[in-house]
Amino acid sequence: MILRFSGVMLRLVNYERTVQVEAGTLGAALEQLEARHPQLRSVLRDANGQVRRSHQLFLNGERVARPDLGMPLAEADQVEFLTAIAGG
Amino acid sequence: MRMSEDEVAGLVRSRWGELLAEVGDGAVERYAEGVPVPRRAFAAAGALGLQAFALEADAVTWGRVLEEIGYLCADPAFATVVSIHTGIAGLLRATGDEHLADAYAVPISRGECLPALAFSEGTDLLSMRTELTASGPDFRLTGRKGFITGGLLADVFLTYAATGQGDLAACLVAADDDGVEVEPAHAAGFRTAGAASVTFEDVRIPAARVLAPADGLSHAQQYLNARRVVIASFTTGQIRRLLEGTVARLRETVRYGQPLMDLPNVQAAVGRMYIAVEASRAIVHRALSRLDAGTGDPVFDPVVSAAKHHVTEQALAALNEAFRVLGGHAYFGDPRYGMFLREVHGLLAGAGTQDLLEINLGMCAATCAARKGGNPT
Repeated sequence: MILRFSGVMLRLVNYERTVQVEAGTLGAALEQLEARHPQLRSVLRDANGQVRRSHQLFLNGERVARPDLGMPLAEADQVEFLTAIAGG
Repeated sequence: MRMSEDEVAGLVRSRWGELLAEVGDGAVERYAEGVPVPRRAFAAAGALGLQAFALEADAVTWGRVLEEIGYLCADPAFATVVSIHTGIAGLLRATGDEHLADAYAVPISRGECLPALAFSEGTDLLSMRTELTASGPDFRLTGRKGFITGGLLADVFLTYAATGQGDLAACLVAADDDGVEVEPAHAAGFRTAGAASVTFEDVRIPAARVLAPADGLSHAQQYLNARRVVIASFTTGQIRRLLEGTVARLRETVRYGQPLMDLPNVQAAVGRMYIAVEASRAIVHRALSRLDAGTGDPVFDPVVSAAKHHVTEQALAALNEAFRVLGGHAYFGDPRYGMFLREVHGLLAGAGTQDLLEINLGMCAATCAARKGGNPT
């Protein structure tokens, strides 16, 4: 499946807008992704390995409110991470 | 049952109107000298139940109260700063931690303890340099924060710092803790809002004052998300104030043998200002209603961000109209127009720059539009 990134997250994936991985679950997909881009893990996930609340996750364009690492993924799926942060 | 607009207006006038007039009376002089709203104004507001009201009211009602405060008070900083206090008190209360509630949230709600947000430090949000490190049972904090609205008045700073594991934590730092130095910031505006920067030099932070040991970024975004609609609320009231002041002046100013207000081009300008007010009220109300209904995203809600962005742009547009039709009176004659001009320019950066909000909203819209009939909201 394809994982898509934008905005502030791009620099953590070497400015690759899309990353292709082969995995059956969200957790496995993230493991593969983080093996390629280790600096991503602490930004994307909390100490328990869950996706932080500041990242919104969309599966094939549908918002997944509480992403579960066991969420099954198929080969044709597209997972988009939307990191809409602004501050100060 | 939710209060109507008229009921909220009546409530604000009857309970806090006198205080707001008193705070507004000295605004021009304080602004010229860069002197913050006096601490006693917040204590007086607390004695009159303003901050406590914020903690109990629904979002729509509190937003309307802020709009009325923005409309009634001639010092724009009062709404800015008091709403920071109530926002932080709400965040502390939401932790469910009795110590944080008793030691901070309750005194803040009484106007006896004044907090400020120490977040920005001139970096992107993933590159903060202020660091919180474990030290025995406690923590040590070192770093520097800038652009702190209400910082000169603050007794305590809600501070976000990197933990060294690529994470952010949130903690409370007392202004009189050893190693804390607060300095005035020479901002383009916010001259009565006590703008400051603060330096932390190996400050000891007891563990009880760490309110989010991890994922401080999401914690801060939750505060800032709510902050955006608060800013939009009181700014809408300030645009109303600008409109009324402009019309009053145009009615009494005679040019070419007639009041300026009777010239069609001036009427059109005032019409555009009126549209700015009503369009702002509409989007702010929609954003506040989403908060009450729990339908918005608590970390980044597109409608809330669109409201802050829109109202800021409307305020700038309305100011432009006012300066055009009032001519020298706005630029030279009445310093309140310049004050508001400077304040509104601060909103271009506050709680997320306009450009960054546009990027985030564009990403939201693009992601949701990818599915048929998708809408970010």
